Amino acid sequence: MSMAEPMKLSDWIKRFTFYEILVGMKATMTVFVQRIVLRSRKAVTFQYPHEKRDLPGTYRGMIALLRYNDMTEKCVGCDLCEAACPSRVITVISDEVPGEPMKRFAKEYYMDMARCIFCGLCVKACPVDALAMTTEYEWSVYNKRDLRLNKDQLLALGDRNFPTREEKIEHQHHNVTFFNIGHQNLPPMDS
Amino acid sequence: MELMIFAGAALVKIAMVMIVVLLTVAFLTLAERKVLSWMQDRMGPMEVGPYGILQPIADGLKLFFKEDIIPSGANWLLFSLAPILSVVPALIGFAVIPYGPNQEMEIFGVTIKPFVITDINIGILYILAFASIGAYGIILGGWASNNKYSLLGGLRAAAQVISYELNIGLAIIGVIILSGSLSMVKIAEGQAGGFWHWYLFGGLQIVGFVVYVISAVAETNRLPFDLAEAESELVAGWMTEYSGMRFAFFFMAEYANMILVSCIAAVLFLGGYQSPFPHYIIEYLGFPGMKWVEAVVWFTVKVYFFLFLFFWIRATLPRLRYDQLMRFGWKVLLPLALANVLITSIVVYFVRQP
Amino acid sequence: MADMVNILVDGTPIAVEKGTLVIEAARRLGIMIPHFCYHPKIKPDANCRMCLVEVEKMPKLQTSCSTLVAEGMAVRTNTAVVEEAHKSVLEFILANHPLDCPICDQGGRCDLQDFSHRYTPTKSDFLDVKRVFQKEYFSPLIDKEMNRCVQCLRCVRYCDEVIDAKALAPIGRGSRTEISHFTSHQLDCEFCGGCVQICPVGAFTNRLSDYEFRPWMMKRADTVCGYCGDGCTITLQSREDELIEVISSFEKGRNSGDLCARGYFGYQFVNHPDRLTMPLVRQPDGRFEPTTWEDVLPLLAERFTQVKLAYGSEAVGGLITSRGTNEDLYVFQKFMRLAIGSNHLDSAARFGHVNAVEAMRRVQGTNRWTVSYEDIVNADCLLLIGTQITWTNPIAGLKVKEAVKKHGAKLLTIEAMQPSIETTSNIANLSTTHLTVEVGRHPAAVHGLLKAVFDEGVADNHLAATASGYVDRTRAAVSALPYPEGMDEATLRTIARTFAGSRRGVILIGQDLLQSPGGYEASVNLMDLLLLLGKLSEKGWGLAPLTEENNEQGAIEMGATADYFPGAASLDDAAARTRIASAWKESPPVGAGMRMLDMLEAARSGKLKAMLIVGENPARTLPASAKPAEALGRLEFLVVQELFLTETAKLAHVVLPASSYAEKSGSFTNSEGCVQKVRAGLEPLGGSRPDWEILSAVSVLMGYPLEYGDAAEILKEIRAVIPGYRVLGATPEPARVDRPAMDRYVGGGFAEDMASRYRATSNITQDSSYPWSLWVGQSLFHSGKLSTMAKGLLEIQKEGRLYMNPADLQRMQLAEGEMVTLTSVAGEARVPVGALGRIPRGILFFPESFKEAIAGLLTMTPDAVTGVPYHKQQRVAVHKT
Repeated sequence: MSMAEPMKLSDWIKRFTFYEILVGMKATMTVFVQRIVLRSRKAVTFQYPHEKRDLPGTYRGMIALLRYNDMTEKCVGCDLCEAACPSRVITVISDEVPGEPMKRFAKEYYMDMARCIFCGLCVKACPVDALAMTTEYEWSVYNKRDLRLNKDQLLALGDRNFPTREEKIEHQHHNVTFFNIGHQNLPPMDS
Repeated sequence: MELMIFAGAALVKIAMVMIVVLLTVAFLTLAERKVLSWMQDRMGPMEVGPYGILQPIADGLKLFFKEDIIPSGANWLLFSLAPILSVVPALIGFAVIPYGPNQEMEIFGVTIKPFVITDINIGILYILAFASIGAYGIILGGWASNNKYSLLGGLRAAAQVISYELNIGLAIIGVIILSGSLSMVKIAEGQAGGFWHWYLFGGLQIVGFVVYVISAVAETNRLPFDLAEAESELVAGWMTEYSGMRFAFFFMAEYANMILVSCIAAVLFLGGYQSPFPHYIIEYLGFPGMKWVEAVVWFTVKVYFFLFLFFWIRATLPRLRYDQLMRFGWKVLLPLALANVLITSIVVYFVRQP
Repeated sequence: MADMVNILVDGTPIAVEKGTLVIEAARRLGIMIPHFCYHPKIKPDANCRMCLVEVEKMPKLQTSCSTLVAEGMAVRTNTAVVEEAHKSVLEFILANHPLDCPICDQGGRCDLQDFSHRYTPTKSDFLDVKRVFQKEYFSPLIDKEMNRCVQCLRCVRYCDEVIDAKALAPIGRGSRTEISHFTSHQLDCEFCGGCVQICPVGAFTNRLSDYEFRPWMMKRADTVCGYCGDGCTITLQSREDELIEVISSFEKGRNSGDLCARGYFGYQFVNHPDRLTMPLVRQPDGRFEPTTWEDVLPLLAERFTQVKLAYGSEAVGGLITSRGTNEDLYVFQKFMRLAIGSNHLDSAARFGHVNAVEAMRRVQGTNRWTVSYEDIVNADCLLLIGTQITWTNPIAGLKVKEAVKKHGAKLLTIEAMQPSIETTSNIANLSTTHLTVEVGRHPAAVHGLLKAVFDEGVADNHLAATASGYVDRTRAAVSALPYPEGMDEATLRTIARTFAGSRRGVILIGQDLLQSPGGYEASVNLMDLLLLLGKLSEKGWGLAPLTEENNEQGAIEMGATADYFPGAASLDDAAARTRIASAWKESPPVGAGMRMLDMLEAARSGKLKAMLIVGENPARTLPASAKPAEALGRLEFLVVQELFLTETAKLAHVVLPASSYAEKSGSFTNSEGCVQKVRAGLEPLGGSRPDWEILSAVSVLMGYPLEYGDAAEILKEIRAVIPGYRVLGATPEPARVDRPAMDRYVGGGFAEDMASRYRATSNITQDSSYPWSLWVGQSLFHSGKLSTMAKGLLEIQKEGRLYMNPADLQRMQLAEGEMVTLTSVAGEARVPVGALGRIPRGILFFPESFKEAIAGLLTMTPDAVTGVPYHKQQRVAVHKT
């Protein structure tokens, strides 16, 4: 090991008296004393099951399906989330809404959360903002097949995490978009 | 009949000592985690029992109930033998350590010396001999796992252990010269009368002490010398293929070794059960008959001080690399220990000349 | 050699034929000019203005789809002005286009999406409310969402120009243009799916697969449709072993992107819940017990060997459908001939196609057409006799329509239908000259044509000189006949004259002619017609018999009939026998084989003890009066390989699950003789297996291993066994007339059956007790029984209706859908009636896919020469109930 300058006497003394080590030991002892003797220092630990962290709103937890404020599902079964997902988590089987021609919804919607990497690309891809990430992270199960969530479970997740719901699209902006609405809502063109 | 009483008494003493040692080992695991976490702004185990006190019981139960796996291709006999070879020497060493004054007491009509299991006159040598056997456990553990990485890990650890064993041996020669006996009891008795009689202070065995402490840390595979068992080291390390009770034995062996070297340090350098004052405090307070209580307490305090030192060093220092470790042991500590022996013997020769 | 014109597109020079559109020229250079309303199959309309390009020295941008190339033209397709134009056009379209992409089925394969993505017209100055059309129910198969329409009118023009059904029309103007059905709001048309395929956006969508998928999640396989003999290339789209949709692509295959209702909407039989998935063995108490292949294959080998040992190989017969692939057919006949050792095998080609093949072999020495679809399209004159082509072979019909509408060919039709405007296209509407004939009178019409040839004096003089015996004797036989009763002599003479006077002519014949008595003779007579006109061996002339099932031509070529070896070599052809014996390492059995009806008779009498029936359903196909079920019931061992549990399968001792064409690889030969590759789009369903695999496995256990790794190996063997077997070409090279065969025929072969061929056929006996002629024919929406398992097709036609002329309906005072009772000499039946304008008066039409409803009515007469069971026409009486 080459040195820039020859060692001074103080360096030799430091070496033989383990001075650097003793400085480190002083640091750890300080923490110890402050914690245990003086009680002036708190630990940084969150005692997990008894205390939980406050999560930021952008936390990427379990994914949920949302509804409008008249409790209809937002999801139109367009399969864009299925296409966007990098882990092939989502399976969508779409169908026509029974009784409402040309309205599309997801008849079956499965998300295999055991595969999910919580990247949030599905949330970004959804054109109607039907997907959102909640702050739920406590989802340990005993059987990993219980992690394949179906539509009802995802909607339930949405219901309990997002009590404030949006208005239906056609009531938000009256001219922006017309898809998936019952046509009887709109007046016919006067020709 | 005498023999039976003697055997019975010995068994009882052994049982008591083993119970204490094993309990200490168990709670030492907890103590290490707690002390370490206190030094690191954390809390350590807090869930099991109030403030995590019952954590060792949980750990023990867990290890007890784990599946007994033997790697395919491994030699079952050697695989099972290795942890035994590790733990038995560690526990056997406690046979010669004096916990209290060398006096006879009468308990239930039997006259025994309760504070040392047996006072053989080659105490230290006995301990060193058995410590060397502990190295076999490591090598066997590495080889019997049928895992090349374990084998390499085992060889490295074993090499480390035997190198620093040598240093331990040389470091305590100064003390032996000063006390003139290999018996632990005699060494402890020779430091009576106050801390200035302790070999560390009065006998000026500072260098020896330092070498001994460092070597003891290396001998027991503790930080900063624990690269053989660090979590991210060597893919495996010799303990990898072990699970359940076998792993528990290795674990116990490590902590038992720790306690053993602390006991030895306390006895050799700090006077063992002797009080730092000329007389025991209890004597000052007027209960000379109870001074054995205080003696045991002083012994315990010194051992715990060393154990705390182990934890403190672990919380502070980073890990040494293997080559740094070996170089340090052979090129620095060994010459220092030899120099210590030389100087001690010269000084003793001249000082003790009538 | 067309004139070539040199132009520059984006700086790259290219030489194209005169009359090419700029957009086509650019496409040949690989430059895709964005467009909505242009399509190569229809006339350019230039209404979308999307294909604008900059042409040097022209002041304004030009629509490349309607601009013809000119010498030295320099076209730029990607300048800033052009991009701005694209953006503006998209802006206009998107102003009213709804934001439906997430719910629109076209998402992922939408032209508007793709162009918007390319040109990103993100700014819009329109702040008004979008125009909205009320959603109406359009049809059970096709959905219409007019909000999405970009008014390119491709659907209207396709339906008008190509299909000639004219089912769609634009109503309204400007952005309020709505595409609607002509007669009512609900769509009632041919349901060919062309509008759905050609629509660039999602205005028309396929209701069968609506919302079920996105294009990127589909597994695709190009294969050939398994319904009719046109052999259209389709693309199967499947997801997780369920067939979701069928599409086709422009320029792929013989159909070039066109499909019919069966091909486009008839795929759902593949995943039908009633598909057989496990082998079934009949238990002593009569029920079927599902079992495994491991158990049933040894059972089959054992029983067949037992029958062979006890009664001889001649006691085993086989029947196979002509829907199987060439590989299935080839392995079947090899199995029967080698493993069983019997020549008693036949296929569904016996129902009519053998008539035409025999005629072609006899006169021109080929078993394939001497023309192809290209010859039909480029023909000068087309003569259709007894085809009902728009119902039976719609894509061949499209070729005829193209010839007539685009190239101005003359169409001469002799059909048992009349011109009328209906919801489905009617080829007689396009005829230059049409002759309506009675059911079963097509052979007589052929006599009339021949007579007209001689009377008009258009017979070939060269032939009269070289083969005077033939010409004279034919003339004598023909003149002895009167003009057929009920047919206009002048029309016949016009037809003969027009046909003789054209430069390229093709005669197309279909089931109406081939599957009624006299079919064989009439086919030979038609070849006489071509010979007499001196045109048989000319390029572009020929007889084109259309097949009903998709691989009838293949069945004949693979030798899956009692009369032929592979290569359609006759059983006593020694050279063929040697060649086959060397390829098979064993000689095929000697001795004539029993045909279909002979086998049933033998089964009834007890001479035939066991039968292997693959995909055929004689218990249903043959009329009840022939008692096929009874005959089959007499067999000691009946094995049926099928997709569903049919009537015949219910009589079997062992039922084996077979795979449909969507689940196996192989090849089909269409009517033209074009061999096309069939590719599997799905894994075989459940435990079903391709037919050849099953037979191969049984053969191994019987000790005559016919082992093949895959279908390609079988095709290799077929090519080794059949000399000159041309396979898998993009466009088939039609067979050439075999001169020696023709000379043999003209030299004397014609005389063998002259008397029977030119025998006067009496007119329909005006039997007052049975005054109506019933014709059981193929309808457009179904093909055999297979299509009735397809949910989509059942939505258009779910039951058999007796169609009669509207005037007749009125006269009998019947309402649409009312039940009537039909009686005939054989029995009676109750069916609902319907009106159809193209049915001539006095004639009834019933779709044969539902003929169980009239099973008791029909009688059967086999052909004396070819053994074809004629049973599709019947005299009946109609009673109101």
